[in-house]
Amino acid sequence: MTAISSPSETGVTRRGFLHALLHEPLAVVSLAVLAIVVSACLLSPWLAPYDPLAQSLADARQLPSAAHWLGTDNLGRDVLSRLMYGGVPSIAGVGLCIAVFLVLGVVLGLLAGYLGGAVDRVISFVVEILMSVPSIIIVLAVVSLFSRSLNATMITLGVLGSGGLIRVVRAATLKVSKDLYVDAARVSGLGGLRILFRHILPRLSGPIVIQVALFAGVALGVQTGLGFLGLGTPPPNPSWGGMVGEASLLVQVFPWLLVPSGGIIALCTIAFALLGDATRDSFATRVRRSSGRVPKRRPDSADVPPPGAGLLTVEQLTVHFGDPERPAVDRLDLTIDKGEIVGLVGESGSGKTVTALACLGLFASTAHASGHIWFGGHDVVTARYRELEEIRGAGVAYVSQEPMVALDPSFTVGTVLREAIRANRRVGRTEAKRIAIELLEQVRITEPSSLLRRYPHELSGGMAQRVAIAIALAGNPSLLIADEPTTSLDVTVQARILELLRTIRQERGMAIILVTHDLGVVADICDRAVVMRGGAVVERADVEELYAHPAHEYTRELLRATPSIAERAA
Amino acid sequence: MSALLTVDRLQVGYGRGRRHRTVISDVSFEVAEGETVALVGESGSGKTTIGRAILGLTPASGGRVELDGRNLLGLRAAERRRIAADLQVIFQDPYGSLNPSLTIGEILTEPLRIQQRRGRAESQRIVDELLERVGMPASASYRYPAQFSGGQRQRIAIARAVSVAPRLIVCDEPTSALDVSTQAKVLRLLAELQQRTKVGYLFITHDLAVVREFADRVIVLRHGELVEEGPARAVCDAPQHPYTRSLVAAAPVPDPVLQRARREELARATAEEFDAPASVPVSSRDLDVVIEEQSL
Repeated sequence: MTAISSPSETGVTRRGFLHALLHEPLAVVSLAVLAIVVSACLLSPWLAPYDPLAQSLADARQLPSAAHWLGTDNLGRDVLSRLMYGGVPSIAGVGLCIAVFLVLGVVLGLLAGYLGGAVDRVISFVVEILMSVPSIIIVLAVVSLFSRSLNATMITLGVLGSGGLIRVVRAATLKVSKDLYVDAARVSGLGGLRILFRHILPRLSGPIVIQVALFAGVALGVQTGLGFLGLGTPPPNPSWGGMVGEASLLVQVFPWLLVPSGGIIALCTIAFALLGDATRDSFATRVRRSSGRVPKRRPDSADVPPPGAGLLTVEQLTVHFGDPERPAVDRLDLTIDKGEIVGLVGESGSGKTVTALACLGLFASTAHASGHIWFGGHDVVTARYRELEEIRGAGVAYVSQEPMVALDPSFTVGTVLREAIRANRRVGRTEAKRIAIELLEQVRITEPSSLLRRYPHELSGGMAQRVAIAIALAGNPSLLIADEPTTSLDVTVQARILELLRTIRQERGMAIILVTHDLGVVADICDRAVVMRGGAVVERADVEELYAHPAHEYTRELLRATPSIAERAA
Repeated sequence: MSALLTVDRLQVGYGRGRRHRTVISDVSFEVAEGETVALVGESGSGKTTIGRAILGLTPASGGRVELDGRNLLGLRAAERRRIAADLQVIFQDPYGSLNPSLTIGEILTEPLRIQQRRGRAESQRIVDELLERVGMPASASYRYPAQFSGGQRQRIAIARAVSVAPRLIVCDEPTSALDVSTQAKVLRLLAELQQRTKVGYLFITHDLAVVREFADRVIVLRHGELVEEGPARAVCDAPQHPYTRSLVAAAPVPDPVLQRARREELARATAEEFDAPASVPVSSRDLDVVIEEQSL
């Protein structure tokens, strides 16, 4: 049920990617800087104010002026013009390197990830070799072999660097090709190439852009580094690296010369790195943190719990997420008495889970809540963190749909359980262990001491849910909120968990709020049921009454829609 | 009714040599034209694996699967493409089964244009018709999957499956991620399409209540083996095999009075069945836990 509550969970759409990227200010700025630099260089024959080779010894070593925006060098050549001309081999080199990097990385990565088997093994082997050879030595060897051919060097660098991209693309392909829509495309009889390029590749654009941006910075560094060493463009022709080299010789007498050449390299490298960062940010899902933060509403001194109220009393609870016109929960009233099991029934979007979490004082950070939830003299809606700590665990406990969520995969059952016990009672380690075993016995686990040493992944779904219930019982709560506790379980396991909840209620006199969409489960275990729709209660009644004489049309519709394994009387 | 789909002693296994594990062992059944056959079982029963083997998404290690007399196992991509028009699928997860980066129109026209080599205009016309038939507005064509609810997406997935007029659709838990009222509507849509086109459904599900109301015949699986087979109503109302009996007994009925009676009867039956020796003091509950423990 919760699985289909939020349509924004699925991946980024094609439009979404560019759109999201252009909403990152960093990305826009980086792209703009790169675009300006690249176009200035490429258009240098038309834009450059001077001939980059024209010497004028009279104007040597000038600081920036109206005539020479970035000053002049040792031979009186215009620095700006030399930068613009000198950028061309750098851009060409980086472009060539990226092209090789991209083609090899994407094609081999896709093939390895999609085909798997022998192809994957061969490609992965090659990648391991690529990643283990010292690339700078190979690059230097290529430079000397191909007598200063920058192209050969940059191609080599692209090949050597592609190992990283192959790995990233392979991993992403493996993940995406497990998506059901890829299976659906296969069943439709679409060819492998079409599936790869139309259905898988677009989903990988984010990681690829990140890798390319980061690698472009590296390529620029290597390209200018070779120029600095005098292995690139032969002088007097300008290149960024060469200009840094020339400036470094004069750093004592004319330090300014290092600023434009070093600056442009730094600027481009930073732009590439920030573009990569911004792309990653635009992909990072914005997690809506569900915190214990108290919603903004000051407690009213006149607010007192109603006399003679039940264990938990909800009065006019309203929760909305920014839009008061469309509340998730709308003026809800609810009373839970000691020891009763109340079903909170509804379909997705009915507000049943929001209500249940509100009873624990759990509101999303975007939530605005009003009304009261009285429990043990506290108003959960306005309670401070300290009060909530007191209420949770010892007063109200929670069991979720996914038992595995309650269990930290890196700790044993024993550790998690003891932690929960010691959070609620002042006991020593041995005493905590004794209580842990007792709790596991209460949830009908036969060999509790051996279970304490197990990790969550070693448990079946039913066992994990029993452990989650044991953790919930650790604080000896008087109210248990169970949110779809059996929805992800097999039907025979579900029957046992429901039986367990029934026994616990009998043994402890504990009340249970059972959030569920399943009218069969409600019929099996609940004393009363509250039917919700669109945040409001449409009907509340004892279950026998509700099923025999549903008063509201929506309840009747739900009952009609629920399939039954046995012939119903009605 | 002649058999549309024949599955004969199907075997699926993973690994080789000593690490070989059989997932499906010798499962045989048939699906006739216009018939709905349900594959029912709990998690790990192999019901989804059988569906995937029929679709060619998981290799079978033995047996025979035929659609209309044409072999379905071990096909090459080109041969499978020829079958594709007759064999389609609807998956459980309506969020994963549609490519999030394509519009609904692109998703639906793709099989028509690539596989059936129809023109752009003709494909679009067929898609508009399809959308109408599954109860979606034609404007849906220009929108992306993320803009639809789970039920609407499942309708789109159904439209994609029926677009090429298949003879058989493998429905893998098509409604288990949906709300009950949406489930009822989607099942009604599937039934309607079946009446019109005589398509056969292999309906994979864990929900016996749905089986009883929707399927013609049912096959109960456990640990990759066929446990019981028969008309859906008969199997649900009078299960023969103890495992089927336990499945039926565990499914809660949306009627508190009836459900209490069933529960009490079940407790009585288990108590009698497990009238164990006095040295082993077990209640029915403890025994359940033992069983669960062993299947960890």
